[in-house]
Amino acid sequence: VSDDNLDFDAFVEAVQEEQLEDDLVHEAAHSAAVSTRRWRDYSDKVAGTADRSV
Amino acid sequence: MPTSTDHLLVVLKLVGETCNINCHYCYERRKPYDRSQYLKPEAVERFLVACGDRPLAIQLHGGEPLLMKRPRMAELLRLCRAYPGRTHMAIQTNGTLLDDEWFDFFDREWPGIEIGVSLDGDEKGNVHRVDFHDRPTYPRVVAALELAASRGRPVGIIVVVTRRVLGRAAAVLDRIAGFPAVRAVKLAPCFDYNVLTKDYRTPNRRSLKILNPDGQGMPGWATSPMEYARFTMEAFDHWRDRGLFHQFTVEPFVSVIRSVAGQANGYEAFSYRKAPFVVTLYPDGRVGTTDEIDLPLSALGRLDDLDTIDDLLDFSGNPQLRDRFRILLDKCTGCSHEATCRGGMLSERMPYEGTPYEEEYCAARRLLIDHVAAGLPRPSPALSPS
Repeated sequence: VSDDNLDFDAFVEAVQEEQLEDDLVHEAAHSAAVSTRRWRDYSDKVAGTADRSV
Repeated sequence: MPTSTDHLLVVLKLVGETCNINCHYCYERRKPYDRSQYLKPEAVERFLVACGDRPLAIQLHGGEPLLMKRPRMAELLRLCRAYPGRTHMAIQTNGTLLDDEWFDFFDREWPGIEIGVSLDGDEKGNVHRVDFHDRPTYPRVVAALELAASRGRPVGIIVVVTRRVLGRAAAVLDRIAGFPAVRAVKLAPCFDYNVLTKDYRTPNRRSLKILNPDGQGMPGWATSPMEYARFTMEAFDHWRDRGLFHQFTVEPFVSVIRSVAGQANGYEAFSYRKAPFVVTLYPDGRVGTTDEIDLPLSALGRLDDLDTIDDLLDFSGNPQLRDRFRILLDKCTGCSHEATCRGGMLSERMPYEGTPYEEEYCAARRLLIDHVAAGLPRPSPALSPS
């Protein structure tokens, strides 16, 4: 199992655990402007997972 | 339908259909506009009062929103800052005017604003994004993305999936990966069908006529639902296998990943919050639901007649549209993928009603959902519920 596979597992976990119910995220098809902060949340989670595995 | 406390997506058409470029597939330039106007502060103020204090996700849109003069936009943002409820601010721009002055402006006026830029992947894919002389906009957008990176400003981009990117998903994502500022990518379908291009007297009207001669069937830029699904499946494999998820999220993948886990989504295409949760304010005082549906089909009323936004959200001003939405969503009952698909985009489904593409749309979404789900890590057997 490569590191990338492990990272993808962590990424998917971060995406699936994110709670949006009380968020103002609402994206139409013509907008790409809403998700950049969400990427940071996922990225931090993946990085945290990698740190813990060391 | 939204309740009186639900949050709404508010699309502010700052300059109507007015744009400094003339993309072949632009839906805004197909709408009926009498003349070029900008959204007045009095109109925005009145609209916000009508919204009460419910939470708003505000999207600055156009045409090209950066054609609005900065002092005017500053006035609109001041009004939005004074709104008593929670807000999230975003802007979608073609990127050609995005310079240091605009970045300074946003840093000053709304530091947390999320910026979306429209770029259809690589240079070859971007050929429908042109100026009025059919000259490519690609180099100017690339310069804007490089500037965003140099200023440490993350951006999202929309890739409209036209025929020019089919079969090249890996190349398109690899090119995007060359832009360090890009943190979110949306692979937006281009399912135009029976769309009539308005005959503007622009220098590139001839190419528009060639691409869409009579407004019948699929214009030269559009893809079928199954073509879009194949492109996105190829893109998903590449994004996962090359570790591009380290660099940016991709929709619809994030939404599908959440859907299969039973989670809520922000992206309408995989959310139970659909067009009725979107309100668009046009410069001439028209108020509509999602701007992705043509006018007057999407019209809900006029700002002049508005006391509270709730008067529009029940669709009493357009019961025919409400009924069409209901009919479409009723068709999902009993579908094997209802819980994950969640009905798709109503604006995409409406033009396909009664055509062979109606079923293809659903089949393509099922295919995509299954493909992404099959590519996700499986829960460890030891952790699975017995």
